[in-house]
Amino acid sequence: MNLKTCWLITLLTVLLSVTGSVLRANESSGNYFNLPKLSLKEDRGLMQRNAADEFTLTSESGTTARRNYTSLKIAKNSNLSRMNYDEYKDNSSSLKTGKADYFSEKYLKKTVNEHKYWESEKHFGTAVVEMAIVEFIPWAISKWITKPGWANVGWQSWWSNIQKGWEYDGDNFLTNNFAHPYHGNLYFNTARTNGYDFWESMPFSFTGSLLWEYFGEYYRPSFNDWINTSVSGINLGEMTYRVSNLLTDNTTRGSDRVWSEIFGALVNPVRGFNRLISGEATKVHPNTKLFDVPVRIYVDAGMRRIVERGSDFSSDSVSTEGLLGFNLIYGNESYADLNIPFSRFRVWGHVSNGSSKLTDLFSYGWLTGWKLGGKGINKQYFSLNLAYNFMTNPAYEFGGPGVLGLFTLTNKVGEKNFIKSDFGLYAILMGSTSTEYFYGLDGRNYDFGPGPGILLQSSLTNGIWNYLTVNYQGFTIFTMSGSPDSKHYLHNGSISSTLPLNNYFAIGAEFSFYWRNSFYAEPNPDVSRTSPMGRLFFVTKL
Amino acid sequence: MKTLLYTLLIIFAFASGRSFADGPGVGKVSMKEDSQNAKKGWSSMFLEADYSYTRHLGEYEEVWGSSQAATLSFGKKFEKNWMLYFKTGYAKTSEWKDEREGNSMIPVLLGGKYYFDLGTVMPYFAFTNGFNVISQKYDNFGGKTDDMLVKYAWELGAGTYVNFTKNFALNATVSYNSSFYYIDAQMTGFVYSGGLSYFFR
Repeated sequence: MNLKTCWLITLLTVLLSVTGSVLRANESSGNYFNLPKLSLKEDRGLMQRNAADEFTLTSESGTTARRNYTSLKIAKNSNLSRMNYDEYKDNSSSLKTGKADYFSEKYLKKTVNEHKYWESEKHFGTAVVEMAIVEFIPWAISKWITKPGWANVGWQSWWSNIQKGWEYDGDNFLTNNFAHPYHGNLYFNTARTNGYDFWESMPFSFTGSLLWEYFGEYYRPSFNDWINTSVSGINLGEMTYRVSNLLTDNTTRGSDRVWSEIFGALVNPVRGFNRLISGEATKVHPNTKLFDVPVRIYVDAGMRRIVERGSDFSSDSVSTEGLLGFNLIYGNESYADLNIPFSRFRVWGHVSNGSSKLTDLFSYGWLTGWKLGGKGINKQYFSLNLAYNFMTNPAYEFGGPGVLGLFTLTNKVGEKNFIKSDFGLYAILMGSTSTEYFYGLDGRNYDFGPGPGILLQSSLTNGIWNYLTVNYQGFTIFTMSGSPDSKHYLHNGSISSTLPLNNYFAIGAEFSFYWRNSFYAEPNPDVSRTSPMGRLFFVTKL
Repeated sequence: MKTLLYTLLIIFAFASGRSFADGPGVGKVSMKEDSQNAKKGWSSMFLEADYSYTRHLGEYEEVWGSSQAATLSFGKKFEKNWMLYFKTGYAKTSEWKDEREGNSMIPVLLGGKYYFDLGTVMPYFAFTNGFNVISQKYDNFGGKTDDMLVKYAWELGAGTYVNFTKNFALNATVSYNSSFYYIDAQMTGFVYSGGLSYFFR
């Protein structure tokens, strides 16, 4: 392993941290392009929010505008309908770019009153055409450029697929657990960015994937692809939709606007396309409420050392890798609406310089929830979440979409700190886990299957930094495809600590232990493998 | 057991929140409508009895031929265009010869319909998802095999209601199903069904 790379990444992180701090320090001067002013939003969300349904916005010229975001007004006035200038004018200062009288009153009135949001109406035809484009592009590239063979479809393969029905495919872990969900995210957004809500967009994801499986590939339709593409695509799709909404600032012009549109389109290409054809990418108009959701972003880097011990081999295997990661927390439990899907979600992951470049990626976003009790910082609620897991490293692989029921409680400890605890039950819909006795034609070396899981986690935190976190996740995967008549018990426990050096920079350490017990049918012997891992990192809050 | 678990998980994922809409604040608006619907109680429920003929495909068709089924559905109409329903029944393949050889199944399905209320005619798209409890008997080279299987099943189709009284409607559906059976011989087929529906209103 090359330690030089690890040190390089570490130095990069320090550089990133310092840069982040400098940018933050310069924030008020406004002399750099600050993506969507994320930290400002967070401050606004955390500190200036007066009541559950009320925002106080402070313009850069110092004037304060209050606006009641009652649910009805939000429905009428945000991204779902035409906004009336009289209702909006209290906040018209937000249409200014920091310079007085940037837009005239007449222009503002005209802009606000005449703008009708693209997503205020359902565009079924556009959604269908865009889905066809999303299906066509990867198929055409495979058919005429990369020519792998599976794109040679026609009446014969279509009828054959209709007759034969489902199978499980042999694709490698990255393709099945990451590439397919990304494609599903595009299907989902053909509806989501054309005026359909979260629930209404779900069938588009399932349908797009189903059409691809039956008619886009020569091979039989793959059941694991359908589940992974659709379910994880919905998960990823809603996240990219919301993050893209954070990035595109409708109130700016010039290079700020161009860059915000480019970043927004990179995160969500379908939305970027729709903004172009609807003219919203170039027109100055009010932002929706989705632009103002508070977020926290952390970037971390460091190194880890993984050991693999197995009952089926005599000596340990050791790997040391450099890691670069991120952690995005969208929304705020204090006032996010429990009934709006993904009004709160968390997504985090790492890339490494080891054999698996994308080494882990996780997310969960709530579908709905119920506040159970408590007030202030001491509260309890139950939420139903859509979860995504992706872990691949030299020692093991695990992934799959699932539904996570989460009981969360927070308890105040001292003046500023509190303990946040989560107790969750997973329903993994299509788990993928390492196996010793299955090797597919296209690089697959893992089993597929559903199963239950459990999550226990507790953190001592001040709301920004988690000083100490203890976590355990356990899963049982019943193999549906791969090693016959097998099942896997998976355990992953970790303890991590972060020591903040200032408001934006911290150092930390983590120790985790992954343990897989796999039970196989005769004559294959059962296998038990353990993988302790240590990680040192720097983390910066952007 | 694995299939049962699988099916329940998927049904759970689907059914977890159709009653909640999305978008800023819209969830609350829709919830009001939902609560209004809830007050109506039975008035949004419906009951349906259907007969269906399935033209199976592929290897399953070669072994077991076609099948016929009688099913009963019970569901709820939501605001706008959605219905959620539970469906079960009994199906038997045409190659049922005698007590020694045959294949029958009990489908247990949960599904949704997206309908267009055009007055007398209500066309819809339907998706159902669940599991088949399959019972099969056959001679396996002299040895008798008597299996009970639980396999994931789904069906996608289109159909229409024709309302001929305030409460009664005729129902006709054509759908494609691709249910699990054995990985090399899945239970695929086209289903043609018709029946009578009663809407509590």
